[in-house]
Amino acid sequence: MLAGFAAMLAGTRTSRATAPLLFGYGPQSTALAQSDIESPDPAASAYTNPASACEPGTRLLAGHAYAWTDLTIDDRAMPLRGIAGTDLAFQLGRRIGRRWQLGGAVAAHLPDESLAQISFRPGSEPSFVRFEPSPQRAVADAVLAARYAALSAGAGVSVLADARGDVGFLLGQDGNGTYADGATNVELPYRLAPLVGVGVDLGPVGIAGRFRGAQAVGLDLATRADVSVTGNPLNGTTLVTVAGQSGYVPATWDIGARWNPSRELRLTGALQLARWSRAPSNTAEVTMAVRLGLSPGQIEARFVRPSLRDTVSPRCGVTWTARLADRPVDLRVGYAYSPSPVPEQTGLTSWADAPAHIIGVGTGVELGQAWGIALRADLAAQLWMLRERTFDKPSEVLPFAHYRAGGRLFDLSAAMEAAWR
Amino acid sequence: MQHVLWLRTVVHRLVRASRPAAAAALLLTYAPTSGASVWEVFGFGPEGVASVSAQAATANDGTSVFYNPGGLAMGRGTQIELSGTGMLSWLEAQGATQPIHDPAGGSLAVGSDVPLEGPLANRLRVGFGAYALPSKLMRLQMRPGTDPFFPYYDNRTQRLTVIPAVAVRLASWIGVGVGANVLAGVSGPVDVREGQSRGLETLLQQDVRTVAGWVAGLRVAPVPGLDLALAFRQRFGVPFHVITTANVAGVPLRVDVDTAEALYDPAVVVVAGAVQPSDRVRLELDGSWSRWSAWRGPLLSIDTTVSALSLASHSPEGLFRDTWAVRGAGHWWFAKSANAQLGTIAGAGYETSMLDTSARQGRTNFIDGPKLMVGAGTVAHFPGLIGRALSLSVGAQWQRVAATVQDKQVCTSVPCAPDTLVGPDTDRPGEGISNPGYPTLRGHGGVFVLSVGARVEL
Repeated sequence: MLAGFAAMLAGTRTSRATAPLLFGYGPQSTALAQSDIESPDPAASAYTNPASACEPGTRLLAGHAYAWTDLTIDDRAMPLRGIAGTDLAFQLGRRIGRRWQLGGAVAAHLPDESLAQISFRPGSEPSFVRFEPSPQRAVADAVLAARYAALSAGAGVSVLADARGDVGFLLGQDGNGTYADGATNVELPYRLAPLVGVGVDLGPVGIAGRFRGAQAVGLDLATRADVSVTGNPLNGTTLVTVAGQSGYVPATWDIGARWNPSRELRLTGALQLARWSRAPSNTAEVTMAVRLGLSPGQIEARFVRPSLRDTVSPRCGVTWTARLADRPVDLRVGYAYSPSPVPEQTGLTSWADAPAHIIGVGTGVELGQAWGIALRADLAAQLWMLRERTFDKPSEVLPFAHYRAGGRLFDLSAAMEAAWR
Repeated sequence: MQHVLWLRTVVHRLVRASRPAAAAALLLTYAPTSGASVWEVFGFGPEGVASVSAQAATANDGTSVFYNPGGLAMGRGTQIELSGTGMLSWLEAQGATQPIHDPAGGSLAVGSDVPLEGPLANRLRVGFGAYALPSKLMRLQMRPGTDPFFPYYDNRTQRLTVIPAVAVRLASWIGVGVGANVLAGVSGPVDVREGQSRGLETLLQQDVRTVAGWVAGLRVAPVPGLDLALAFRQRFGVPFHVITTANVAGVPLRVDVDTAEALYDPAVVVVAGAVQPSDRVRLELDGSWSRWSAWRGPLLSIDTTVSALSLASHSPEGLFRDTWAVRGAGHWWFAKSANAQLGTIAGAGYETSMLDTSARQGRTNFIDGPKLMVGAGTVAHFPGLIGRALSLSVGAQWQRVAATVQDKQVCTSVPCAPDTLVGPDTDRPGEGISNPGYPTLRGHGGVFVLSVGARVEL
């Protein structure tokens, strides 16, 4: 139960990678395969690059994204949920004097089915560590930014929570017969991950950097059972403690660049380093403290850290601005290569993953003014193609000694943006 | 004659305006659950604390997202208020002081116009209210069934509270608004068993789903200097339902834990009126009804199977009853100049007990009584100092819970009635009783609340 609390605003599941980390936040980033670190949509700047949150104006973005998953292990489809959620973002920037700009932004991603799914799977069962339910987790970022001349910088936090505490229940007996009673005391302390962005805008050329801290939900929850019922084999006290890190998302370092060869054309590129090697075990540690009339054979279980690999992912994108019916229309295309952080499996764990080619396309249209608001619509699609990968463990006696992993993901993202400039 | 016409106008406008809102409030009262907040128990911000929450017909800034979203529509510009609130408990149960855990937190209240043109110009406003504890999102504490405690105050203020709201000014004299009290509930299984590794492996799958309770309100200003308000807050509880299964040395253990409505706030309907006889004085009177009778109680519901033995907890029923409250507040600007205004706030209120003291309790030892609330505060307003104005305020409140006493009844023969106490021996059920409320359950005390804040108008 307890894990559940963990999620209240954040939460996660077995592993890894929130939906925005996989596909990008908002249609522009999705279409450009997240190569837009230097030139994000300012409304989405809290996630994409905090340094852009000082762009003058007020912007409100509301969008939705849905990703179909077709991931297979040994040609059998893995029953994964569609990755769907609503994006809500707000950005406010003001010019202060001739050279200064100040601003702030918030961005939230709210999965459709639940704010979060927290889970620990049995460590030996096959699972897609990057794509299983962690994309179902909510994201909540808040940043402040400032710009002086060509230099801009922003910083903020992404908010999560841990869960710790205990649940106790008593099964007892009095003169009137048996009875049950219980109590809980569970806390959700904050866990904040830092967000930092910097940028240099030199007119037709710009460079930027971004850092997002690692995130996970730490669980440390104990269930205590006191049983005192005549003749019951579990009479005594049993304390089961489950502890672990659920929904780990690695720290990422991004550098990006932009070049505008002409007024209509914009080229973007980025490199992302994801520190998967710092990932904790994605299975829960279980300990049993037993004071009973019998002794269980197992009183403790710990899995080793997964020893994932850091990955470097190159990304690029092209934006062409055309005019259609006298309205500016952005046409976007992007490509990225996403290496797999999962090493060869040689032990009890059976994680599945494969390198992926990512292609994105999209468009954005200025819709004009309504009630004094400048409206804009954006649409994007992104395809992940995982290269089929075979895992062969060194011993046939290990669980899931041989298996193949591969598949595709297809993401559609649409958003409306209102701006007061 | 003029007074009659004035009265007819007021009544006519009020009836016309309140029909849909009253219908909506009635419907929402019976809507499913949507946690308790520090605002519900003590008030939102320094002015809310000082006025003992008599604010439904007055608030038009960010705090109106809680008091009455309809009032948000009657505001102008942008207001941002940050405040801190602390609580100190002198509640006593069986001679022991009952602390309020996590007794301090901070609130943010924002109200702002939405700059639109055309038919929506100057009509739409948005608001946002949030309360956060300094170090944690929330604490969920469900006590053992025999603990003596005050369910009205226990584990009701230890959570994040977030209410976004939107309001529309339909005409210059009427505004409606709606907000959502948003949090999350949890359900899912936890299974500890031997896995492929032949060691203990945990399968844990928890879904955290959004729960929301509506806050809706109507504000009418039929004539200058008079404001009338109707506000509704849907009941709010944080649901948790988790089934834990484990295998201990071959003995199956299954525990179904259900905390249907933790951090509970009842559905509340508030009717309020405020008059401003001069530009220095404002008076408000609120009446409210809180539907505590719908609460399933503050205890964990447990259904468990150990080996072949199935046991379930049985929460007492019929102990909670609806409450009525009346609250009044006055605001007096006693010093006004071009650069500064100083005002004072005083409030007082009374609320009936949410516990039916005529119903005898068995194992449980819930304590509550009628409450007397007294508040006071001061506001300093500095036009043009920061933005359009800066306001600094402080508010204090004392809530006094009347003494309650209940003699416990001892079971004389098995099977025992649920409202009796029993000892460990079936043959002598009235002997050896260890319940902490035996032989007499007693409680009384009070809570002191202090809030300080700063508000900027832009």
